[in-house]
Amino acid sequence: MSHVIASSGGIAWAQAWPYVGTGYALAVGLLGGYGVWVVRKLRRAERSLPGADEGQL
Amino acid sequence: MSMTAQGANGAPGTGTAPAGARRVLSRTASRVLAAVTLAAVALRLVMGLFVAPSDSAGDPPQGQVYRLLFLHVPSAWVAYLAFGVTAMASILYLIPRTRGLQWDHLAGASAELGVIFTALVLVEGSLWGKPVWGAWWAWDARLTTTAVLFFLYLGYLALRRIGGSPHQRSMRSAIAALIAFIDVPIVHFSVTWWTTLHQDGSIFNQKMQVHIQDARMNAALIVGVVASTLVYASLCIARMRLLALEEGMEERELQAAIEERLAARRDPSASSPAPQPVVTGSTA
Amino acid sequence: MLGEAMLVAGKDLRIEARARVGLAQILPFGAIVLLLFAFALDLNRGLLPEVAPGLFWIAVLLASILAVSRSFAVESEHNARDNLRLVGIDGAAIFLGKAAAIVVELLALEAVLLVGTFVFYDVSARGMVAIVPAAVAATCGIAATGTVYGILAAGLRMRETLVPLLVLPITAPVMLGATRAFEEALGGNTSQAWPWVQLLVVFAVIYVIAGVLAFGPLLEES
Repeated sequence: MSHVIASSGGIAWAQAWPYVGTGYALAVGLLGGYGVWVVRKLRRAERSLPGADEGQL
Repeated sequence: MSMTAQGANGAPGTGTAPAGARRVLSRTASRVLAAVTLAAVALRLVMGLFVAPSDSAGDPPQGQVYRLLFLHVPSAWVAYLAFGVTAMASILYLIPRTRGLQWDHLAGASAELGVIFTALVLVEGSLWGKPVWGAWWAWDARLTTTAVLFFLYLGYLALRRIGGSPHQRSMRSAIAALIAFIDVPIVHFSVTWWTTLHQDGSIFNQKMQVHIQDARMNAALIVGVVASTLVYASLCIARMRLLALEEGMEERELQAAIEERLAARRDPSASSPAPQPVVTGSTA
Repeated sequence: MLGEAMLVAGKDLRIEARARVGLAQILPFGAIVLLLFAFALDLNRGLLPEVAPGLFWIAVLLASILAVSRSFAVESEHNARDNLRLVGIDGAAIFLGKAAAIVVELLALEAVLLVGTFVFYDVSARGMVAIVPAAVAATCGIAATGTVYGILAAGLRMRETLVPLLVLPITAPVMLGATRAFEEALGGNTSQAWPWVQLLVVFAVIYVIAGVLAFGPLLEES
């Protein structure tokens, strides 16, 4: 099972970066993209509702 | 389409506030939350990728790959949290005394985020598993339960899209959320039991974990949990508000269309899409 | 309420006895699934007896989706659902009645498929003392969850594809427990099947209660 581990120090960056990189990029991308989408639609909705962005609404 | 100053429900000046669209957080509070969230995310990226040292004490040592766990573990926590919030919100909707559309919006928003985080758990688990286990997947108890959770969520979200009045849809979704939520401990228990049946060191009982031997690792993990929770909270609140506003917009459009029709009937010489024959018999 | 539930169950079973959709369509469907598994898994390698419990329960689960859909299709004909409510039958009774009818139909299906498994997958019939309770408990769990989601989705568009998506993940523990119970029983370790049977019973009890609680209020709303 541990055939991938080259040295006694564990998997080095040279081998690890595709996995770690994809993981982090995906998390940031997916959540960030969702956030951008929500904010954009919120702005559009607020614009078409007079008084929507004040405290009450 | 023009929205006249007379609100459809008689509230003059502003448009009618749709039920549940009152802001959960004030404008400044939202901005503060967003700023804190972004700061926490930046911090967790720095700590997880750079500050925390490489894993050299594990058996076998995982080196740099274990950093994925700084995402995977917090995401799993948030996925379960989100599901719990959906269940709580559903209960609040079902109880007549606390019923309010905002709970339905919370349930829906939380479930959407739950799907995203659940998907991240599965992918990050795979990305971790390939270099460490040699396989893209293992029937680890938590991973398997998360996979079931993913599909439970998807079904719930699919059910939410289907029509009826907001109240009908909310009732139906709330019940579905609770039915699904009850299943989660049962699934977890049965899957855990199932994986313990196989003691042969095969793909069944590999554990997705790393031995924490350094305080910096601990810190990175904690920051990761905090950051993920903040991301969930801020996105959830924003999405809740969007759901409320969109619902309000639909109501408003419907009201406006009704108003136009009524106005056209009362006064046929005013602009109207389909001129109606005048009831009194005089020709236009 | 139980009396009303029996009325509803009786009605469903009578409709089934006349229409014989279960016999003519759902049972063959289950049998065909078992047949296709044999093609998929290549008979000669002796694999089939080992995986037979799992294949059996997958065939049953898929067939149960059809049974649930059928149970609710019956209601939408001639506005049956509204008529039921007008007569004043409690939502919980409708749930219990429909679920009970599905249990009866599924048990009949399972009996036939089980015989088919013994014959065509070369499995020896052992441990029946555990097999029967396991099957009954599992079937009650499947019927309860299927009926719950069937009622939830009743009358909605896209329900034919929605119901499977809702029911299959929920029944994951049933799949797990029933397969393990069958494996132990058919393999001669009946004593080790009982814990799994307990799991199946717990699941069934929880979801029957959940269905009863959910359907008082829900039918008023829809």
